[in-house]
Amino acid sequence: MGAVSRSLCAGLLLLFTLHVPESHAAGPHEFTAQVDVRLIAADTPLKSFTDGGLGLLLFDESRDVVRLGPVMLDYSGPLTDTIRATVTAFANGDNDKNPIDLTEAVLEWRPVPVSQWRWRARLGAFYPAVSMENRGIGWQSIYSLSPSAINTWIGEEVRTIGGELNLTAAGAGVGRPFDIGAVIGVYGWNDPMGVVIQERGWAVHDRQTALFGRLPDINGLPAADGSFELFREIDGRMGYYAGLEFSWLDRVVARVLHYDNRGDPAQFDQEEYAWLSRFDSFGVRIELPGDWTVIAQRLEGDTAIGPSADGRGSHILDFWSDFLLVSKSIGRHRASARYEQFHTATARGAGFYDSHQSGDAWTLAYRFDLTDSWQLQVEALQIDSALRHRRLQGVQPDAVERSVQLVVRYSLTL
Amino acid sequence: MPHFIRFSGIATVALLAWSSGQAAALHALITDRDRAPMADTVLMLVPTDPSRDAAAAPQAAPQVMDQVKLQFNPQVMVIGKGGQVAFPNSDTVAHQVYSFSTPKRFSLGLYRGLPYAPVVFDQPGLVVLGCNIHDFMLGYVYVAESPYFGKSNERGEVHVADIPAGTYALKAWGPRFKEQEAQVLQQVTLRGDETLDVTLKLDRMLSPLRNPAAKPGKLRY
Repeated sequence: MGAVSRSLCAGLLLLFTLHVPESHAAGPHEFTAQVDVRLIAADTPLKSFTDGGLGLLLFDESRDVVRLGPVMLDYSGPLTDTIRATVTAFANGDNDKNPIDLTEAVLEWRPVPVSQWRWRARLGAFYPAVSMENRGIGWQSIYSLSPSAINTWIGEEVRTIGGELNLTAAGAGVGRPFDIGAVIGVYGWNDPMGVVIQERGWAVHDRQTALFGRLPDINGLPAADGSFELFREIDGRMGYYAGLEFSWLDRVVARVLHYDNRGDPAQFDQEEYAWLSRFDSFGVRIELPGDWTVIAQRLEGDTAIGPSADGRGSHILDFWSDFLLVSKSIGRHRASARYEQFHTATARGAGFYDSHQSGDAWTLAYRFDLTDSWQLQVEALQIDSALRHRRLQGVQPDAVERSVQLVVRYSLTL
Repeated sequence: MPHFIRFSGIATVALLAWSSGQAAALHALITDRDRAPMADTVLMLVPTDPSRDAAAAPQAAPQVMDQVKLQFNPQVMVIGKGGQVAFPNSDTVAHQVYSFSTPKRFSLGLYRGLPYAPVVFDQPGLVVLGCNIHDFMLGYVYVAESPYFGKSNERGEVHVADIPAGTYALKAWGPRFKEQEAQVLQQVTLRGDETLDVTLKLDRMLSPLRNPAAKPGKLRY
């Protein structure tokens, strides 16, 4: 009897093994290609930061035209039943070092939960979970074309190149209306982080810095000839982040995250100093009856550079920003409005270089998904900002910049 | 005492045999505290006499809980003990359906279409289903402890037919219940050839439903 049941078990196990993985794991590979055409009208006295100016728009008046937006290519698919690979690349068409370059490349391990404790691990190059807006494929905002200043900056300067572990007590399976989770990440290759917020301050746009690409020709960046690479290791010290997430019935999602790249501001690699950058992020997203969504987020931190007796850096910049977004969806339509404020202030070393920014911005966005593939977006943006070192370029520190973008986007998932 | 029990058992069997041709029916309207109809609520009639609990549910054809637009469809299903449910995936993206609920632990490796045989549910109780790829997907299979059950429609109505005469506890469960077990609402006694009309007002506090995934837009984060 024992032998019979053993061989039966073995037989069933063999059947199961043969039956499950191969034939069906091959199907679920998803390739997404996205391209858009933009009609852009800009009204600004400043040159865009992408052209060596200190304007905060991606496109200044010289680009007041119809143009091709970024092209995105994305792959996401299983390597095994519980390990998924995702690779995202953008071609921004703005003379970046590589015509097309990666923004994320990550392996994610999701073991099938056997209790309410849910483990997740990510390894590779990816965004830490800071943004409450950038929820779409390619880390794009689903609410507006341009994410808030906070998440624009995350897209510009922040990437986890390392690993992350997430443990969540998920309530749904045990009849509890909320989930609570903790995340820790360890990473390197992020030492120049801070240079953009120091030199240009906050901005509002949808260009993400590629992993092997370069930053735009921001005035004051050490190597504006195109060789300045953001994602590199200078001091040999790993950084970390730690955060908590709370979710109630998927209607309220709240996140806090503490981030510290543990840079050594005294370290220099012949091209650039390591920056010591730290921030705390607080975000909440609330889904209200009637398909209304409210998102509020705040991020505050500092970044430091240069040797100093106390090791804190000879130049320290404080930065903070917050925004409130209200969005309403009706079927295939979504309308969103966002208001934000943003600031930077030099806390040490202002005599050497006084970086100081103060501003606010309004964004009105409308999106219409005509079909699963075709999408129309309109975004009106007004940024009212003062940036002290615009004087060094001989322009007024205060400026009101406006843009309207009309975007026809096509994306195809195979 | 033992003698009395044996006698009562015989009497019940006799009653069952007698009433088999004269089944009763229950027509219920389920509302919340504000008298608004409650859809997707499971209603069961559980015989108060435990010796009658053994009646097995007739072997029904496998039920189908589909996956459409990143949601289980239907989201709530009630089946009898030993009932089978197939979980096809009609989406273009792959899903990975699992449950760690005590009455049925299982997991269907990543798939599209219908590669797996129906899952058999032989223990009564609530089985909560998830997708390991899409955490916001939630489905519920309630395995009824008696063969007399139904699920309310959009108007909050449940109709249960072919119920042998007898006394039953009316139990209900819905996805907005704070509990994971069906709750006794009241007792009813049914006579043969009778359709009992009841309105069941749930006096309990109900939690809101989970938020469905944001639309429009494909979500990844």
